[in-house]
Amino acid sequence: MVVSQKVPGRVVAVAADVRIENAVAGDVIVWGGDVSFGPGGSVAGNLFVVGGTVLGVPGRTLPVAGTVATPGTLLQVYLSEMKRAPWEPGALTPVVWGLRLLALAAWLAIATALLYFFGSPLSRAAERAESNWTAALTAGVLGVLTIFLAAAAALALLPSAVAVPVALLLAAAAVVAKLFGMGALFLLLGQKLLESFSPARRPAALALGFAVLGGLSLVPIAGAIVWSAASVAAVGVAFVSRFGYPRFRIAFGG
Amino acid sequence: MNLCPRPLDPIDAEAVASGAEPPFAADAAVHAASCEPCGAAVERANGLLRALEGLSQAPVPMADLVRRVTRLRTFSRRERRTYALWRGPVLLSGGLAVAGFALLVGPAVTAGEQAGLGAAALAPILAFVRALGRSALDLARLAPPALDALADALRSERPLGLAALLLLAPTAFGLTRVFARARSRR
Repeated sequence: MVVSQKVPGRVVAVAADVRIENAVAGDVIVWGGDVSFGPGGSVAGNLFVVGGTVLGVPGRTLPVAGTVATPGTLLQVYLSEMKRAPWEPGALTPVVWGLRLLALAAWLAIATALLYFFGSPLSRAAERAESNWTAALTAGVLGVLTIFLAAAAALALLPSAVAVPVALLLAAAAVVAKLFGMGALFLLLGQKLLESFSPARRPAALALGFAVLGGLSLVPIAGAIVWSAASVAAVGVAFVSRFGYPRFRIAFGG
Repeated sequence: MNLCPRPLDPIDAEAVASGAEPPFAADAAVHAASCEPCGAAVERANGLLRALEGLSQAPVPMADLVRRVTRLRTFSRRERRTYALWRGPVLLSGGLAVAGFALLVGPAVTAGEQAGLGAAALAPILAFVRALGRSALDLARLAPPALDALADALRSERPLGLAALLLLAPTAFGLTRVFARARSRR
């Protein structure tokens, strides 16, 4: 999509790249596409890009009057904060690695906190995953699909006042399920490697499982695939195990 | 109404049913065999005994019950407070954070005109913290209007929403089937 004439309102694009050649009076919101600017392009509102990048005109500051937000692309925000630093072109790689290591540190800190406060539910979820891998994986794929379809249906068919909270709620559920499920996966992997399911060794098992999965995630291309697959499985583990909530059954003999 | 002229004491009936010596009438067993109402009383006592025995029978334990209970138990208060137990993830997480910050700091600590090494190292770390805060705030502020805009775009493509709704039915049904099967296996 090329914005070649002045736009009085906002511009929204889904799964498409946007090139801004003229002035946009409102916001520019792009889902799943890149945004680039021509010499006469400008945005008077905010620029929000999910799953894409923003390319400005070389030698010019980004012509956006409002906020530029690219969720999941912390690097760009970080770089914009570092304008005063003596950057060099070759210095980008360590920065990327640094951010990735910080993200992994945050992952392990969250998983450790989950284990500390929810040790038993996390262990139960890991045990459920181990006893029924097929169910966990199937539930992961179907769960992620269901969340996406429900959000799309809600946004397309319901009024905004209802659709936006529903979509935010679904996104929050997906994030919580992924966090909990990844913790259970780290724990299970570590327990299998240590060949110990003792509660006293759970923290060590969590660290070991995380080290293996986190280390794999740093491998180019394959790492992203492994981490994505683990994320889908994690959602399934959380759902199938009901977040580790116990389910008591009483059987009466005949 | 009991038609027997010499009805059995309930304790005798229970004694006969359990094969013990009747405490009141020594011939209770012989009498119950020839008297229909007393025979029925012994039979009722026998049924009660069987039911009580059934209740007291211990359920067959799961093969790996002890292992499962140990595996799933929560942390004790002492385990929570023992740093040695948590050292692994704490040190790994801290090490990763330090390494990450070192990589962020590395490119910035090159300029000779910096006031000092500490100040030069502090700048990228502060920038990172600022960026993290800004990113979270921007996301919280812009996510609702961005979703609203996405909803506007999707509403103009109503068939897309209907297709999502149609596809939602089989995926949700499949999900409930997976949950049901997983439950039945437990």
